[in-house]
Amino acid sequence: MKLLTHNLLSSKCLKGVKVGYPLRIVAKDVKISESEYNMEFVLKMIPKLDWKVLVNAAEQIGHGNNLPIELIEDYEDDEELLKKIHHVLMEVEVINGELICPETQRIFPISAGIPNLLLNEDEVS
Amino acid sequence: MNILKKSAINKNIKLSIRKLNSLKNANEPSSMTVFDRKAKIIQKQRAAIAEDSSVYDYIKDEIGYRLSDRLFDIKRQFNLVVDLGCGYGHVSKHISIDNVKELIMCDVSQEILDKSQNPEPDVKVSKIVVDEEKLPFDNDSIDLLISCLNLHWVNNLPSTFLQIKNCLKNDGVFLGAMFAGDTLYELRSSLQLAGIERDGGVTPRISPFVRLRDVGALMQSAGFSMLTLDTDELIIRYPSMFELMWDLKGMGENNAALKRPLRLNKDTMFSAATLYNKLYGNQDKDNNTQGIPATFQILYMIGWKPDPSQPKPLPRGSGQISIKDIGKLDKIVKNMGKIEY
Repeated sequence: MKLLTHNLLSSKCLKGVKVGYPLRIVAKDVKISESEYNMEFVLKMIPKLDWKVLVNAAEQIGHGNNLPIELIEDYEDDEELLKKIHHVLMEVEVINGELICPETQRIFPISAGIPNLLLNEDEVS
Repeated sequence: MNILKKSAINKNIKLSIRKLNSLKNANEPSSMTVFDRKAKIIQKQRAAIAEDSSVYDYIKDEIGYRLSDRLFDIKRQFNLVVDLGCGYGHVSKHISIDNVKELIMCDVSQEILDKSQNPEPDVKVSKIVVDEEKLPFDNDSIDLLISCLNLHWVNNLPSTFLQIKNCLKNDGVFLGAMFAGDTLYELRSSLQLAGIERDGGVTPRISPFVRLRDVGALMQSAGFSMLTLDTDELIIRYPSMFELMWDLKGMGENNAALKRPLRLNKDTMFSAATLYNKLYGNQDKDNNTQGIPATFQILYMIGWKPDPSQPKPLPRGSGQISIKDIGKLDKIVKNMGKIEY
């Protein structure tokens, strides 16, 4: 599971959950796989990301990469920062671990890089 | 005194019986629940585990190809795309970097995702195990959501459409295909007639399918704009009813209705096969063999999440050309410069 995917996921379908975002990551196995740097893609993705969630997620799995807590205004011109963002978004992958709902502490397992977000019938709102 | 005690005890018994009944009803599925989702997941997993699972992909592959063709008609590059109910990559394998940058493939079973074909290497891919009825995506996060032949097993279609619309960004697109209306009508009627003849009644052996007009209304009420709906018919020939049923099982498309009968009587099955052959069977002109047709009606849908940038219809009465003048189209086109908008 890439951190770009994590940035979209919530547990809002769980019973009693109001927001369910962001899910906390507990990583047991993290893999770095090289991916070709595409500046255009990174620039298009940044405005669509929840920046704080991305930074926290990267720190939770030990790949904070000195990302700034607040996104700087002229990030388009900072190639070094863009490469760091590309690395965190596209190259860092959680292979085995858990996603945890922030409100109910319900655990969703990640195995072989695939998070399992299926719910039981009694858990659905 | 005793009489008073007795009546109080009777009252308590009646109350507790009423409570028990209400609890019983609470555990029963709601009227919205038509399909047994757990059974469906097991059926799909069983189909995915089979070594010859790719043999039964022909329908989904064909519809996946046709759906991806509709995707290429949208002249836009989507950054973030979700393929909901991706199966073995029936749509995904046709996706190219020209249309999609990041693809999230979702299905109800890890076994299916393990076997699914990825798109071309330039497209970045992630996979998630997700239930179509409970989407885990944050609001306003996805540019395009594709669904190919999986929404016909959803219990609460209005809720699913609403969830899809919510997780799309403004001006995001939902592109879907689902079995509808007249799908497998030959098999349905044959089994019904055989049921009446052999079992003295009709049991639901084929799940219900939605109608075109219902889907349009549901998508509109979910808040989609600029809807495009169209249907397609796929007729496939089989040697007999048994091959058709075997293939449906291989696709993971066997019956998952909540009130389905758990077994099909041998007598009823043979009777249905004979009826199918008699009512619908025909000769193949090319190789002179007897066979039966099976109709699959596919409903394609495209819906957009509303956005101020989308084209709006002109106000009523603003048109300057009458529909009556359609025959004089050449003259009108010549004089087009004179018309003020």
